Amino acid sequence: MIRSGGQPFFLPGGPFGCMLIHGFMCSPKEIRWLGTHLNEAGFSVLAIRLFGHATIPKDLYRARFQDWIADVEDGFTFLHHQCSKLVAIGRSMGGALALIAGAKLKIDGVVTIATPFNLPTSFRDRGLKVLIPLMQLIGMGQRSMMRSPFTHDLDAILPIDRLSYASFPPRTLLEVNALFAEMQRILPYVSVPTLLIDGETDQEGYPGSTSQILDHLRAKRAKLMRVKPSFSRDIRNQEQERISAAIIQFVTSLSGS
Amino acid sequence: MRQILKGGEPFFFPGDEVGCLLTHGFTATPQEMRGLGEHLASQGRTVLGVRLSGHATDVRDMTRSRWQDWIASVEDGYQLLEDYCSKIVLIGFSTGGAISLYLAHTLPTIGVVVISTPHELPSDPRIRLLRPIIRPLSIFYPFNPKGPPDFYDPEAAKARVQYNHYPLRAVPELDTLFLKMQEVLPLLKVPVLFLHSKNDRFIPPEHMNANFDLLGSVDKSRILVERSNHIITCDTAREQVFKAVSDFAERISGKRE
Repeated sequence: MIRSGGQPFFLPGGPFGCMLIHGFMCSPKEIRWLGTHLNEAGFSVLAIRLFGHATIPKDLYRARFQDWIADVEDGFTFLHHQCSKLVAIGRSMGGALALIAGAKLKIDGVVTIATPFNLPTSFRDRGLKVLIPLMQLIGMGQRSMMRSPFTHDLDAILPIDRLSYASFPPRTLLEVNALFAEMQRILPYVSVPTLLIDGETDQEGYPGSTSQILDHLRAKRAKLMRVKPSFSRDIRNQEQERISAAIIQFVTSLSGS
Repeated sequence: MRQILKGGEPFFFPGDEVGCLLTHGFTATPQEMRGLGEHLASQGRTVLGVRLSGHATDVRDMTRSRWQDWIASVEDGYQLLEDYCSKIVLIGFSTGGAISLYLAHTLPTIGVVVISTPHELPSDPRIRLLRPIIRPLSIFYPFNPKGPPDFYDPEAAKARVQYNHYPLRAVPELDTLFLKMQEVLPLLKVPVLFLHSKNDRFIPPEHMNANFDLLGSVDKSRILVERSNHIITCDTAREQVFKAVSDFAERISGKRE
């Protein structure tokens, strides 16, 4: 059973379609604000739910990054039927999936929000590739849970109540790592217009920051936008509106091409 | 390379306020529901054919599938359809029928169509014999090859998109799913239509009768078709099946007296 409020959502609208992809451990609820803004601007919006998310954290143990790519393909098929233009928009790990969609599927644009080029070094340590299977071997694989190591200064613009898991099985870290490796591999094949949205101070948190994505992209029309986040409620709404407005402008600009 | 098999993608056909949620069967793909979906769409209905988790990609993905994942896949579809339609009919084929019945207990649906759905695991002596040890056995012998597609209509056999193996690990999951279905059957109150083939060599019509007798609903009906094997949505009697389903959807949605 999916946790109440964590279900995917569909907001029917015009011939421009936006597929929203949530981040690791989160749910479509974290980007409903963006969906609402985009729908008010006249776009059709689909927010998918990634496998193993918005149910129980243990389900992530069985997730592979290929499942998440298949979920994105499902969403693409759903919107493709009724939209003449399609944009994939992902937050954090969802942005990596959006970029992969940009290289593999017939879509017209990609937007990433707070998507790093890499995970922090300690979480893509080669030692983990030995340690995690070892934990599984002694039966700790499914029972042990890790606290979330991933924070980004743009998390401040997300709603506080966003149905995020507090912890996850270590096994999943290998999948997240593999997904980012896949993203890095396909970046030179992404030729559609791309908008990368990132926090102002993210370099401190992530050595492999968004600007590195920009360096590897093939897209000629790629742009990096930096947002200064804040934990104050008023400013959160303002920043959400600012990000939404930038994405609306980006999607609208695709109509001419 | 896409994750999802060509022809096995989910489908969405927008239409009126009556939504039909189509769920395919075990180790199959939305392809077996597409003909029915196209017929319902031609009658004006909104149609969504979902892809069950672990299906239509690689049979190895199904060793990780649990019955809850399949329930969640259909819940996702229900949610998307609910954002578009006010009345939703659940239509499931084989295992998809068991999922539809199970979900009819918790989701506010206006009716259920159950096609070729088993009451319990097939009475194949091998399954009966191996059932207690199938989980450990699946580690050493994960896949058992299927025979060639068995249809009255040779064209339907050619068009079939499915896995060519049964994943043993998923058999106990099926078993649990059928038990859960049997638990909710007496509690259901919504109209239900059963469809089955007299000549079903895989799941004989007695399965339908057992489900029919256990069902709590007052408004329940059953139709037997001929000259078809298990997959009646694609075999020679398909037109009769399509018409029975669309008539049922029209009746319970109040489009026809």
